[in-house]
Amino acid sequence: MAVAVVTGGASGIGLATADQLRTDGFDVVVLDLPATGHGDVSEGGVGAEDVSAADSDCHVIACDVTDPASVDAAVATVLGRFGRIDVLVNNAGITGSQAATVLHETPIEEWDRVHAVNVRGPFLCSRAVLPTMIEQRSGHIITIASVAGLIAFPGRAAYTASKGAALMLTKSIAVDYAIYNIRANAICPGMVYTPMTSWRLDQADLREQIERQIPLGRVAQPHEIADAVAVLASGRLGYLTGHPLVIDGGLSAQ
Amino acid sequence: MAGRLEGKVTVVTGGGSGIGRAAAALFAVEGAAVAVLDRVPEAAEETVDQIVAAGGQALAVTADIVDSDGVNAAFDWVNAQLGPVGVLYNNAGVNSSGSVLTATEEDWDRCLAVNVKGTYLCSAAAARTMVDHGGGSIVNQGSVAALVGVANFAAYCASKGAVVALTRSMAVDLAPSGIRVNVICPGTVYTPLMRPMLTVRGGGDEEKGLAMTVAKYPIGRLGTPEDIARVALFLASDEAAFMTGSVVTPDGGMTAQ
Repeated sequence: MAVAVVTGGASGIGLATADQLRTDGFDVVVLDLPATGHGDVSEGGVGAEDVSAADSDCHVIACDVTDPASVDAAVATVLGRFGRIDVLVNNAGITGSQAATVLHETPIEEWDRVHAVNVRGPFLCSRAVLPTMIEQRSGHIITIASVAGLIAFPGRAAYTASKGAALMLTKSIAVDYAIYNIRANAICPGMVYTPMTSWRLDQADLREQIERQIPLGRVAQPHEIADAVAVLASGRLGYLTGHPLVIDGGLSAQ
Repeated sequence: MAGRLEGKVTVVTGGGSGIGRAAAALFAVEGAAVAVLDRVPEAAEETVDQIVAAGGQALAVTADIVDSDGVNAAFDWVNAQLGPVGVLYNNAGVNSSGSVLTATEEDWDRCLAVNVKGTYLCSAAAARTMVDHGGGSIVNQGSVAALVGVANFAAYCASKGAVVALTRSMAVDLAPSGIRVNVICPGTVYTPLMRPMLTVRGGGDEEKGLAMTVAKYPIGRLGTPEDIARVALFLASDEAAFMTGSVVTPDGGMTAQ
């Protein structure tokens, strides 16, 4: 059976993705911060332990994607159990606290924290799985970037810059590893209703203001992003590599 | 898994060959009733025969997409024969040759007419029906030539750039009517359309031209019609329900470099 690893798979897009990939017949391993860990509660995640309690089908490994030792140990555990990794979904990501706003007001530690999760995380996780994928002569690294990697989100300097970096990291992997039959693609969601965004979207006036800017007139649900990850993971779009797949209801088409 | 387009009436322009034929066949396997529209009646009929032989539902329609009366009549006929159109794949396109210094004006006009005006006319005809029936999905055919310059391909590059811009414009205008519009920008696909270009590029040697072209693709091969048809299916289906105005590039990594 094909094996998929989903980082940040305990909530939001990651959780929907883990569910969909399991439905599609993958062995899915979720990597997420432990529930009692740092950062996850403020970002709205439920944490790894909650998922393992709620859904015993799901293999869960507590992992901090910003910590090389934690990532290497998690990947070793996956390989010990399943012997292969076919798909890595670099989904774990944060927007930063509300203090991470326009550039000159962004606290340096918030900038570093956003880049640690959104850029260093995909780097470390991809780095950990690539030797296995090279050996397999197959694999697909799917990184959840953001439409903020293509157009700037107002008042979100660190997040915007980090998603631009994640996008180009994806292209770099695509170009360097195509000869090993490894694909790398990014998904660029627009606004999605998740624990990371609900603090804004649950305020009626803010939600209306956001949805007014989206041609389809609504935000996405996590499963609409998970559908695209599943299509990529299925290998049906085998000639697609190095691509930013934009799923934003037309936001960036304007 | 079949059934991604169950019960949908779809129109595939240029369905008589290459990517269009592959897409028509795939759409039919996924449950669609497929109108195969082509300028060449025999080509459309051959695609339809293949689909029907495989147990699918298809209808051959002859039209030149640069002729508005012909396009409107073709869509009226499809609506009457199969039901209201829900999916349109604007696949039909023509090549061009030459730089701005060497292209002929006739070639330029023909390329822009088929690739841009043809897309406009078919989209308008389909959208009128989709607006009245709760929406639909339009998939346009761009090219990596819309994103990067391709040598001696001036009119083609310009036409495909226009299709990408038209896609965004349609996405914004038609979203309130529930119509999604996206564009595929394939890398080089080995189709009948491409063979003369490969021969020119190889200095008269198609094999050499092929090798020179493949060298630009990190994935180490050119695309197949099926590679692109699968992307069209994804965009046409509800799996892409939140996608509109998007540019999707199945190009084996060519533009990632």
